[in-house]
Amino acid sequence: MKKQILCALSVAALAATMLTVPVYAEDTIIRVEGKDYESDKNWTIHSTNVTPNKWAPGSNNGLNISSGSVAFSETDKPYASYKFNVEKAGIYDLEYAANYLKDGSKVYLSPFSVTVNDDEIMFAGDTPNNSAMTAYTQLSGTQSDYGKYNVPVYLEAGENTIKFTIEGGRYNGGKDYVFYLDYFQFTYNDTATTSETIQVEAEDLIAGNVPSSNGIAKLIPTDSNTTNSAAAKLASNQTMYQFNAFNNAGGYLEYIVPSATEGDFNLEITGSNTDKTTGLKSWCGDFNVVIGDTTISVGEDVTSVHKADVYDIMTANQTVKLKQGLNKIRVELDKPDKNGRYLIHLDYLKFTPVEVPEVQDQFESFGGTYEPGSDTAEFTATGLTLKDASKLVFGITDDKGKTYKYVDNLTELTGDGSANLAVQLTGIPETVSEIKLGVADFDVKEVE
Amino acid sequence: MKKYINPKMEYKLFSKEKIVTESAAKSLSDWAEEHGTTVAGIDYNNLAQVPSNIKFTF
Repeated sequence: MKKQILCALSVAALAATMLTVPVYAEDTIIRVEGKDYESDKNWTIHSTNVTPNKWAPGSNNGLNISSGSVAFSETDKPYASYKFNVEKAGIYDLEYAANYLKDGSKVYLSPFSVTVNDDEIMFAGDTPNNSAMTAYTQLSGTQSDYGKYNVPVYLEAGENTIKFTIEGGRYNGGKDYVFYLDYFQFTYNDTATTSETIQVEAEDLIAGNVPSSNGIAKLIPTDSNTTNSAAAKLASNQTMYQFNAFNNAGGYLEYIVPSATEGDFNLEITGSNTDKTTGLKSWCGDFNVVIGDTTISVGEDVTSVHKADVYDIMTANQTVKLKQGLNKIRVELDKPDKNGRYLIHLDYLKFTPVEVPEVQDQFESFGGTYEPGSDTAEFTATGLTLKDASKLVFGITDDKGKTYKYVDNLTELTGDGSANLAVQLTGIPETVSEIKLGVADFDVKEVE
Repeated sequence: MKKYINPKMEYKLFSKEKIVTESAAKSLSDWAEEHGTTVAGIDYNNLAQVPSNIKFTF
C-alpha cells in the first residue's frame, strides 16, 4: 500500500534552507512526488530557477530545476534534497523517474548523482544498457525524456536523506543545466534485508567507463549471440553478458551491492577465465574486482572452468569484506587478452556470509570475579587444552553494547599450553558493566 | 604488517558462561599456587579487538 507524504503547508521560498518535519512511514512504501516541492517542506532545493515540469509522465507536473540566468558551477552544484524518516532499518528498493541518461542522446538533460545518506549512487551519463535504468515515458521528438531507475539502498531507522545533485551542464557550452524529477519511491525489501545471500546479475550494472568510439558499452546476452552461446550455456545454462566495447583500453563495470550486515563474505563470481594455469586458453582479458579500497585479483581460487569454442568461463571464490549499507563494486579490466583486446564475459557476483562453526564446550572448570565499576577482574580456569591458535576471549558489556576482545599471546601466559590459568585483568574502564570469559580457537595471520 | 583473522579456520568457543568457582573465596595468587601456575597480569588496553565477523555466544 502506497503512502504519499504530503504536507498542507505552503512554503514561498524555494532555495532557502527549510525546517525538517519528521515523516514516518506507516507502511513499507514511501512515495514522494516532485510536483509537491512547493507544499512539502521536507524538500530543500538549491537552485535559482525551480518550476513545474509539464512534461512529467502521468502526473502532468514534475520538478524542474534549471539554470535560468545562473550558470552551472562545479563548486556550487545545484541540488534537490529530501529528508524523511523510516521506522525500520534495512534494505529498500529505490525507484525514481528523472532525466533519462541512456545513450546520452538527450543533450539538454544534465547528468546527476543520487546520494542516500552517505552512499552515492551514480548512473554515469554514458551508462551502458542495463536492467536498472529503463525508459519511463519517452515523448518522441521532445527534450523531456524520463528514465525510470531501480537500485537497492540501505536506510537507517530514523532520519534519512536523499539528494539529487546536478553534475554538469549539457548545453550552451556547459553553462546551462536541466534536471527533471517526477517522483521517487522507497519500498522496504524484507527478502533482501533478511536474506544472507546477495546476488548481483551482470546486467544490473549502474555505470561503466567505456572508452570506445561510440561511447556505449555493448551489453550482449551471449545466449542470443551465436558466436558465444556455447560458452554461456556451459557456464550456467542462463544468460551471460559480454562486454566487448572496451576496445584497446581498460574499462570498468560498476554495481551496487546492498548488505544489511557488516562482515566477511564469500564472493562467487562467474565470468571470463582469468586463471591461465588451467592450460585452457581464453580470448578475454584479466579482470579485478574492486570493493572500497581493496582490489581482488579474481582467479586465485577457481573452482571450475568451462571451455567452449575459444572462450573459457570460470567460477571463482574469494573472501571479501562488505560494510553495512551500500557497497560499490567495480569490475575492472586492466589487462588485455593475447590479441590486445579488452573483453569480458560476466554472469553474476554472489556474496554469501562466511560461516561460523558451532560452539563447543571443552574445559573442566571456569571461574571469575568482577564487580562493575572496579578496574580489576580475576579469572581462573582448569583443564584447558590450549593450542597455538587458542585465544582467551573476553565478552565485555558497557554503555555502548557488547564487544569482544582477546589476549593475543595466550601460549606465552600458559607456558606449555596446558592450562591451569589465573588471570588478573587491570585497567578496566568504569563504563564496563559485565565481563565474561571464554576461549576461542581461530587463526590469526600476518599479512602485508 | 597488519593482522587479520582467517574466518575459514576452525573456530571453537570452549566456554559460553561465566561460572563462579572457589576462586572467589581466596586470593588469586593462592589459587594459582595451589593449581601449579602463576598469576598472569593483563592490561585491558592491550587486549586485541575481535573482528565483527567472528560471532560469539557468551
